[in-house]
Amino acid sequence: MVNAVKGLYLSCDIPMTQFIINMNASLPQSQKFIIHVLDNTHLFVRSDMAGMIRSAISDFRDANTYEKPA
Amino acid sequence: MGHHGHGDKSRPSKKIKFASKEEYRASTADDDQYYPEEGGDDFHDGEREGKKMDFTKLELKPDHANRPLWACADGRIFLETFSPLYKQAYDFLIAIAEPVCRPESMHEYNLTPHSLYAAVSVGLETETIIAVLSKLSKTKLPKEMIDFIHASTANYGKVKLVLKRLLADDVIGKARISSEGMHGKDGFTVSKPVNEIEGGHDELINEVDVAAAAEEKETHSFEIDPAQVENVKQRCLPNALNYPMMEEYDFRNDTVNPDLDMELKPQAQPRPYQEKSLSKMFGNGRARSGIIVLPCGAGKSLVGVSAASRIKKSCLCLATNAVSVDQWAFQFKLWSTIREEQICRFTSDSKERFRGNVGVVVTTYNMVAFGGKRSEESEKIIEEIRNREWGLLLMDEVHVVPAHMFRKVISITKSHCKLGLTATLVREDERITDLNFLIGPKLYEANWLDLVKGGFIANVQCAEVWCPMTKEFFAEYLKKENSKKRQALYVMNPNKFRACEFLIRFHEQQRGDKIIVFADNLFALVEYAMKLRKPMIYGATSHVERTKILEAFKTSKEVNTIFLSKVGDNSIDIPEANVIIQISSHAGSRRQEAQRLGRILRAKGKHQDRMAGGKEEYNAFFYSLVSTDTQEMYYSTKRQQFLIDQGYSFKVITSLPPSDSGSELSYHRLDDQLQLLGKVLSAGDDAVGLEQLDEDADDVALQKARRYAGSMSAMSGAKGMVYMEYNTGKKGLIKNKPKDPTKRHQLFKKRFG
Repeated sequence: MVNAVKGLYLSCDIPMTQFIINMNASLPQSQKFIIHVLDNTHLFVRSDMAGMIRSAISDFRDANTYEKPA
Repeated sequence: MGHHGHGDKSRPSKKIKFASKEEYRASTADDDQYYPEEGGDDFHDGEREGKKMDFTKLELKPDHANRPLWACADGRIFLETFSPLYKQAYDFLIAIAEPVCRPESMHEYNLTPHSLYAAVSVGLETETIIAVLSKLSKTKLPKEMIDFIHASTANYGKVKLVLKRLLADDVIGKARISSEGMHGKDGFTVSKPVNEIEGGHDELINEVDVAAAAEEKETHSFEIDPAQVENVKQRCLPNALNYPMMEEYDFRNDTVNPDLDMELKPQAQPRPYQEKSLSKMFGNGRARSGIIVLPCGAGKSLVGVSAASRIKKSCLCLATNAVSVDQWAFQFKLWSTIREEQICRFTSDSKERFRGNVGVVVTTYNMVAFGGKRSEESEKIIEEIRNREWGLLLMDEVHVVPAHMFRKVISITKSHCKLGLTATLVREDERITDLNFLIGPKLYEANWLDLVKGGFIANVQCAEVWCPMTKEFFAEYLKKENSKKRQALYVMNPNKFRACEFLIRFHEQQRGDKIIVFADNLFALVEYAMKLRKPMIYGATSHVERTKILEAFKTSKEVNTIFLSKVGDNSIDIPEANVIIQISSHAGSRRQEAQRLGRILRAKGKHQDRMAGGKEEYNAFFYSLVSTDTQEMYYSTKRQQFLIDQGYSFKVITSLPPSDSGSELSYHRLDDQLQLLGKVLSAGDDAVGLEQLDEDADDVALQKARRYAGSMSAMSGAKGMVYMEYNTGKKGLIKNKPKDPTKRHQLFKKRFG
């Protein structure tokens, strides 16, 4: 029987895929959101997680960015 | 310098002269309404709110196009470098203000109490500063700025520390010893009237009294307890009493200390900027104490040797380690006519003494400041250093030495004049301002880009190479349990390794360049060097091996790349190198970045090729390899800030090695990459950390200060782990004859007890 799941198809570069996989792995089972790791640069995730992923990536990038103090 | 034409400067300046008087009057009269709530005091609090940034109400002078700068009420000054008056304006601004950022077309400066103190101490007067500023400014000079200059300079120069023993004495009245017999009758006459304030031991408690006393324009002088000089000086700085002192040495009239017979050799031709920095120091015939800032490779040592040759008295030269002690001794002999027996080195390995009663001693800060037990031999030498009256105390790399060590060195040695030299007036611990009272104001600071244009230092192409992390390395990097291995993981990133290998091949084969690869991380240093079969030098490398490697790098056509740990940051002199590849570095240290760049700044090749528009656009290359999406990106940007402020720009390169090449480089296959990853992960946390050297005292960028209970040789920077010393000096020189004590100047006589 066909089992259809609605989700989001994500395209990212290799390191960011790893970042999302790592994030997913650190969550308890009930909150895991990756449905399928398609390949090195593509993921299929729960559709309600877009905002969370976006903000986690943005925080991560901010932490690696130096801003000259005014 | 001199790149920008300064064609018919008479035309605009005439107009300006006329305009400025009018402007000045006008601006003092009605500028209030524009800046109603600005106070002079919170000038530099760093708060730049919208109101202060709104300059729309500033009134442009009708001939503003001819004037080179914008002066803002918050003390900032912007200079257009394309103006015909740039050269004159630059010389003036560098004397009165602190450079903040100097890119190619527009410089930013900041007026601070310290910079104005420096201005007054090189002989500029308050009214001159204001008049010239308002001449050069496109707009009316803001009233705040004028008030600020008045407030900051009013008291300057009233107190002079001639021969460093005449001093106004306030709260620290106890420092005063006695004032009898101190007036000019003894060999050290003061040529100009000096306004001094005589204070009783307790009577001058508040500043109002001090100011009142100064009004009387009487010259007073008295002696200060040598141990208290620093306290008194600090007390007089702008943030306390606001009577900054000037320190001058009337060396021509010093008949007590014997003259040192040394001249500059005829082939030692100081360059224009070296001449300029010396003229700031010797402006009025006396020698002023202060700091001269020149980039690495621009010839700081010639400035130091020239200063010593002008003063012609005994000179104590302090360097940071034994290798640079040798280099300084060499420079003295190279540039001046000093005789072999008049110069000696004092390090843990070469304890030389000079014959006769005058000469140059080169040693390290550690050697002088060392507090523990010394060998009998060095105890004698240090005693001589303590007891001698030094005409000049020459201090190299003043930004590196911890402030407490400076204090000690300065209080131990008796010098008439102090000259500090440095390339990078930045410290991560923000203690730079301490230098103001420990040594003196900044006398001169060269503009890097002007020196590049003049062909005096190499024209460096700076590039940041972005290396994406591989999937496997990044996955490990993200894991919490690997937090201590993060650095090793981003440095050992195979993509970074391949970029490094590609760059080495390119520069060796296509351009025939000489390359230094820097790695702070020892694990990476060893892995890279072994894999690429290149020689390496780090802390534990023996002296013999170092010499062999460096010699091969200099002379052999086979050895074109060497790997250095941070021992190479400033102590190893490698004039041949013109390419630097940085694969790992000390966190966010701006100073290290500048020092490393300095390794390749010494200009090579023909002078005319290097000039702007010459054959070679770039003749040196600085690559910083950064693994993207890691902490390294943060540090890398921070590290670049100093160089960016000097006007350098970093080009970002994203695709190295190019996608069509690659299979000939290492770690092309996934198996190899995984093997490397395994190696990194199985190494102990200690093994993949940073190399620790004794001299990191100032590096608080990431880690806390460490204390060492080191051996004597370790303290002098001569321990095998750190630096090896050359031991070529002559030993066993005859002990000095003590000078006739009756000839000694009274001030010093007392101190000798």
